[in-house]
This record gives sequence, C-alpha cells and structure tokens, in this order.
Amino acid sequence: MRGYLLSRLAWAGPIVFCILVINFLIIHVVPGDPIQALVGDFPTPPGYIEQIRHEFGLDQPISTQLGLYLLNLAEGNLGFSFANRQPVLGLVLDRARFTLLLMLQALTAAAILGVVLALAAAPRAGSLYDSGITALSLIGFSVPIFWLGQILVIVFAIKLRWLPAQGMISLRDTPTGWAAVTDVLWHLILPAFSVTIYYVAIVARVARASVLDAMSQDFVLTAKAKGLSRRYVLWRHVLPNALIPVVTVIGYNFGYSLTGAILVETVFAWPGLGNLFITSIGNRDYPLLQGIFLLTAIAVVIANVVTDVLYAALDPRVRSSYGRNA
Amino acid sequence: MQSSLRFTEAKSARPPFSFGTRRSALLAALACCAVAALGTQSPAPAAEETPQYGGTAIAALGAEPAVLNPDISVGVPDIFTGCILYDALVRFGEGFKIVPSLAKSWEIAPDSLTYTFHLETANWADGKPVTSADVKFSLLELSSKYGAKFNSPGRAIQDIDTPDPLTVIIRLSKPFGPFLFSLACEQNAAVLPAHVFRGTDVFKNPATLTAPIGNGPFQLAEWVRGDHLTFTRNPNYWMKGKPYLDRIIVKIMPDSAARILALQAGEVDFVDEYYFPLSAHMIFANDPRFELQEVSYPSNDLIILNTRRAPLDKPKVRQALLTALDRNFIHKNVFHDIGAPAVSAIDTRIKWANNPAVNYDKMYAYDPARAAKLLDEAGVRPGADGTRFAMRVSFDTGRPEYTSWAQAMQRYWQAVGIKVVLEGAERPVVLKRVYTDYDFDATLQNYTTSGDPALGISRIYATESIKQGQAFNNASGYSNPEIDELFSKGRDAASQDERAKYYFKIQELIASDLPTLTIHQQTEVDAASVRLRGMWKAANYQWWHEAWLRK
Repeated sequence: MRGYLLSRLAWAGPIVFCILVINFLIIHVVPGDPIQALVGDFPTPPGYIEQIRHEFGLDQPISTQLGLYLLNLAEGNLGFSFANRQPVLGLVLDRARFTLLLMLQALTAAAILGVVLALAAAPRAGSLYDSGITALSLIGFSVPIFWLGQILVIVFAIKLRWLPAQGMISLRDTPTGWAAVTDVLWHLILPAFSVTIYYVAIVARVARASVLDAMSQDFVLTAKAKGLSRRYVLWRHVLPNALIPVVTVIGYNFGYSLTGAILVETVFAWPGLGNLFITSIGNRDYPLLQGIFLLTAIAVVIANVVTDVLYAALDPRVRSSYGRNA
Repeated sequence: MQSSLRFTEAKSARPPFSFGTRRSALLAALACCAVAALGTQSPAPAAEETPQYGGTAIAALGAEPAVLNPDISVGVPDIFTGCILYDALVRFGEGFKIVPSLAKSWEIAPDSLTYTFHLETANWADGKPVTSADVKFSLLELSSKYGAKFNSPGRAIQDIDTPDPLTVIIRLSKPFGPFLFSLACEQNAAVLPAHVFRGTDVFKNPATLTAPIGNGPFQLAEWVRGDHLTFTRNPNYWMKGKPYLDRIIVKIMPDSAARILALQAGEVDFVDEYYFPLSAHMIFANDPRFELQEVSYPSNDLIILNTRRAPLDKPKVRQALLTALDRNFIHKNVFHDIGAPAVSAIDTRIKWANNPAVNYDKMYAYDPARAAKLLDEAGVRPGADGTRFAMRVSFDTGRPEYTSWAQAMQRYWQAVGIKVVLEGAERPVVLKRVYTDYDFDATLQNYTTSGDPALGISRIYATESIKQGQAFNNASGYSNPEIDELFSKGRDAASQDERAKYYFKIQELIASDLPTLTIHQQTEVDAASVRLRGMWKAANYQWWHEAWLRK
C-alpha cells in the first residue's frame, strides 16, 4: 500500500510542473493587456504605463518571465497580484479558507445524502418512489446554480426575510465570539443549499446506477441464496461494490472544489476563491491566476491520490493488482 | 477634412428591417421597461430634515480598490474609497459649482495665471498638520505624475509657492479654463501627506496599499479582502460637527444581480452608479423605499470610426453612417429610455459649452434613403450582392447594453448595404484591439466628459491625443489642425463665455466631419435606501461627511 501511495505521489510532481508551464503560456496567449485593465478609463500621463509594466516585470520576454516565475516559485514566492497589490500566496490562501468552508460541507453532505437516496431508490427500481428520487435528482442536476441562488434570495431573504441575502457575516452589527460562528453558519445556509443540491443530484444519480449494477451481479444472487437478509446484502455486499464510481465522482469534484463554487460565490457575494478567480480573469492578473491554477492543480492531484488510495482500500483487487506488478 | 453639410428635417421612417419573433419579444419587454422607467427623477431634496448622528451606511461596489490613493488611479473603487479618506482643495457643489473644501477661500489673478488658496486648519490622521507643503507635494509629485485626470492641468502648472503653511499660490504657465474644476478629489487632486510619501515609491508605500493616513471625514478601520472595507468616523475631522455617520462599510459585490438583491433585502444602503445597471432602474424607480439620484458628470456613448481606413476616411461616408441610425430607437430600446439621444459632440448637459445650433436630430435625422444617397455620392456603391463595404465593430460585451446596441446598429447599417461584423469581446481584449493595434473599423465606447470639454471631450478629437497604446484617447486617428487650435484656445481662455465661443465652433466642425459619432447621453444613477439622507452629496464621492441615516 505504501508503494502504491509513493508511486502516485511521484507522478504528482511532474504533473503539477507541466500544469504550471502550460497555464503560464495559456494565460499569456490570451489577448488583453493587464496594465490597460489596471490603469482604468482615462489616458495616462506619459511614461506611467511603461513604469507600471516595468514594475511588474511585464516588459521582459515571456521566456524570462516564465523563468523568473519558476525560480520564485521554487522559493515559495507565488508572485505579486497586479490588481490587488498583494502577495499572491497570502491572498489565495486567505480566500481558499472561505471556499473550503462552503464546499467541504456541501460535498460531505452530498456524499452522504446522495448515497442514502440511491440506496433508498435502487432496490425499488421502477417504483413511484424511485421515479420521484430520479426526477428530483434530474432537476437538482439541471437547475442552473446561479438561478436557484437568486430565487432562494428572493424568497428567503427579500420576501420572507428569514435569511441573509449575501455575504459571510452581518456587517451592520458585527457579532463576536460564538455569535459570530452562528452568524457565519446563518449566512452559509442559502449558498450551501444551492451548491449542495447540485452535488447531491450528481452523487445520487451515479450511486443509483452503480447500486443497480451491483445488485444484478452473481455474488448478490449468491448472497441472497444463502438466505442473508435484504438489508445485510445491501450494506455488506452491494454498497462496497457500488462505491467505486461514487468515490470517483466525489473525488473529482473535491479536486475542483476550490474553484467549483464560482457561480454560488458570485450570486451570494461569498468572499471565496471563485469570486477572486472571476475578477482576476477580467483584470488579466497573471500572477494571481497562476496562483489560483497552481492551488487548484495541487488540489486536483491530491484529490486523485486520495481517490486512488480509497479505491485500494475499498477494492482488494486494486491492492492485489498493484502488489503483483510491484 | 471639411465637407458639405446638409440640413434636413426629421421625418418619420420605418426601420428597414423587422426583428424576429424572439427579438420582438425582447424589444417589447425593453420598451415596457422603458415606459415604466419614465419620470424616475429623485424625490425633492430633504433639506428640511435635521441630520442625525450615528449609524452605519453600507455601500456596494462591484470591485475592490487596487489602491487607497485617489491621486494615482482612475479606478472607480479607488476614487470612491480614496475620496472618503482624503479631501482636496475644492469640491463640486450642486450643478457642478466649485465650492470650498480644504481651501476655505481663493483668489484668481485677472490674467488667470495665479491662483491663491487659503487653507483650513486641519490635521492628518497621525496628528501632523495639513500644510501648504502637502498641497504642493501632492499636486506636483503625485497628481501631475501619476494622476491620469490631472495630466492636462498638471502640465499647465509652472510652479507652486508656499509663503506660509496655510497659503498656496499656484502659478500656471498658460491659462487653463477648467483649472479650479481640476482640483477636486475625483480629478486625481486630493491632498496627500507629503511627510508620508516624500522619497518613497508611491506604488509600494503602505499608505497607498493598506494604511492610509488621511485628512478626510473617515479613516480605514478594517479591510477584509474580497469582502468589505470598514471606514470609521474621523473624530478630529477639520469640519466641526461632521461627519454624521459612525461608519461606512464598502461591500465588494462583483455580481450586479447580487447588488440589486442585497439593496432590496436592506443589507446594502447604497449602490454606486457605476455598478448600478440601467436595466434595474425600473425595479427601484417606483419603490418608495428607495431613491434614485442622477449623479456625477455626464458621459457619452460613442461610435468611434477608424478614419485611417477607407472608406471611413470620407466624411460623407461617416455622415451616412449617422443618418442610417435611428438614435431614438437605440435610446428607447437599448438604453431603457434613460439619458437622451445625443445631438452634438458636446453634451447638452454642459450647458455653457453646448452649441444649440448643432442638432443631429435635424442634421442627421434617421433616413436610410438619404444615407444610401450619401454613400453613392461618396463613391461607395453596392456590389453585385448589394454590399457596399464591410465593417468590423469592436465592443465590450461586459457592458450590459452594448451587445444590444451593436446588434441594432448592425441591422440599421446592413439596411443601407454595409456588412457589419460584430466583434464583441472582454474589455481588455477590446482595449488592446482598439487603442494599441488599431485593429477595428468602428468601436462602441463610453467616454466621460469629466464635466468640461477640455478635460473629457478634446481627447476624442485632438491630434495630440493620438497616442498608440494609450486607451481612451483619440482612437479614430482624426486630425484637423483647425479643431486642434480651437480646443487649445477653448482650454486656455480665461472666461467661460470666451471658451464657449471656441467650443461652439468645434461642434460645427465635428458635426460635419464626424470622426466619432456621439450617439447617446448616458445618465448615471445611484440607488439608495431612503434611510440614507444627504444622498446627492454622498453620491458625488466627496460629501460623505454630509450623509446621515434616518433612524
């Protein structure tokens, strides 16, 4: 198992490096001038643009910029955001916290709820119950998140006035201590609900299909023939076999969780990484975009490694196949 | 570049095309919005109300400030927050009258070359006094060098004398008509602390980035990146008894729908005009819980034509392009009937400079037949497929109305045989294409007038403003020595009456040459809760000390 893990991690380094270089080049190929985006809607004094361009090293050839970027990166320096006038690392980590708060709970809730719904629906395949769950998951999957978010705000924040419309904390009377924690949770409800619905739908659909698939296998028939209870067969034999695709879907989405909530963050003015990502594209804020891409790439790689490890933990065949080849 | 001018009376003409069903529905909806939005002027000012102290006002902006220094940036969030922190020598009063701020009074020499200002007694947030040396340093070392809006007035300054700590004498090398106007905070002319900035890199100075040391009504208390900035009352503000509010929180909300919903939910008190979509106008116009206020100086929506390229180098072709457009339709259906169709190169709202004899409604009334005739006369005749020539139109898809505008324009111009290729893109892409690469035939842009032709309008037409790589200059490539001279005289003349003479003439010349088609007079509207009083003043950046909350 350790060898398996090490081989996975050994691949991660070159992958992240390639992603870095490709991202750097792609960002610089995209048309648009960051300095123009920075200086605003008015002609600048003579020499001003050149000064800023020089200050941010944008007057250097692309190859030099790439070399400098990689050198700085080796020292742990992710660069300096043009538009925010701040070091990228601090900015990105700061915002990532808020995104993780939103996404981790959403994905955890989605994993649990999705599987529960699938286990409830699949054994009754074709029933009204199953059709209802399938239809609901289809709706959850299809409803645009930003639209759902706005409807939730209109209903719960503007009409009913039960929940806050946006943000992460109450600004007018900022609470402290435990009241602040409650306040954040209160603000989290609508954005979390919007994003969770989507992931629940995805997980439920995949899990239902794989539970159905597992239930049609011979070993389930054997288990049933042995006289094992329906519930025991479902939990002990069907579920572990059905979980592999579910783990794939959840792992995949965990990887993208840092930038996966762009729409929800935008609709609810949630101060996370997705929001930062959108504004930095408009600003052509190269260092910041690269920083966000790097963090996302690392997250995806880690999620993949964790997913692979979970495969091995869930499925003895994965473990043994690795052991034979090693 | 002169050409013959023909005046025609407006006559009704049907559009040369019909929109498809979907488009008709959309336009019908837009028209309904436009009708609903009629008569949306703000309620009468609440002058009789007694201001109350205390409370927190929350203002929503669409982006975070890059710097907290109003002299080195023209970004809306930077000026908005910077002018909460810093005062300038003067402010704009209602009707854009210049009124005292840090300068309590001033004298202007008869030759308009010497301005003597007498300062209020004020302190910086670190306790040091605000002196004439601060004014001199700010205007010469910061505003003139790094302030895009102070670029022209900065060049007119010969020197600044500081005979005593509270007297500033600014000497100009030549008269500069809007000089006093240029000394307001939002013109990149805030007074900044010399002792903090002298000898430092202004872009990296902590006072620029995170820790401003201001002289304004509020001080920065907290900046939660990506979320909000909190400004608290300056207890030692030089204007006694002000400000009224305890705090102003600037909430960063990139999504316009989120800003509107937050305002409706009462979580935000104020949305700045730059971030208030015209399409939301009707939602708030008839809701008594909110107040809409037309603010700031006017801006214009322009079609800039690349006169370097044939056949756009022919004035007759440009006249035809304007004649082929139904600007009224565009005003009503694209701009939601807010603002007005433009009738001249100088906005009618800058009353003293607008020439009433120049009226595009009469000169270039919508008339496709006449447009086609003008094109024929210019030698641009239809080919076998009916197309006279093709045009690539570059526009920023981020501006909500511009895509509809471009589509309407495409239909109108195609009706007279001009093939129009729409090239909508993100703002940085468009700016590079238009101002650096000159790779466009026409572009849709919004230019602020800055309240004065010398500050905001001459840059569209003057030869000296053709600067490749610099945005929001003369992108058309149009150059006319006569107009250049008139703009110089208009800028340098001492009295407004004399200045107006030159601008009147300029409008006549531009109305004939039309290197840029001024299509629409944009109205900028702030939206606020009626609880927030002193609205006009708060809305115009430099008056937050007058804003107060009704309990």
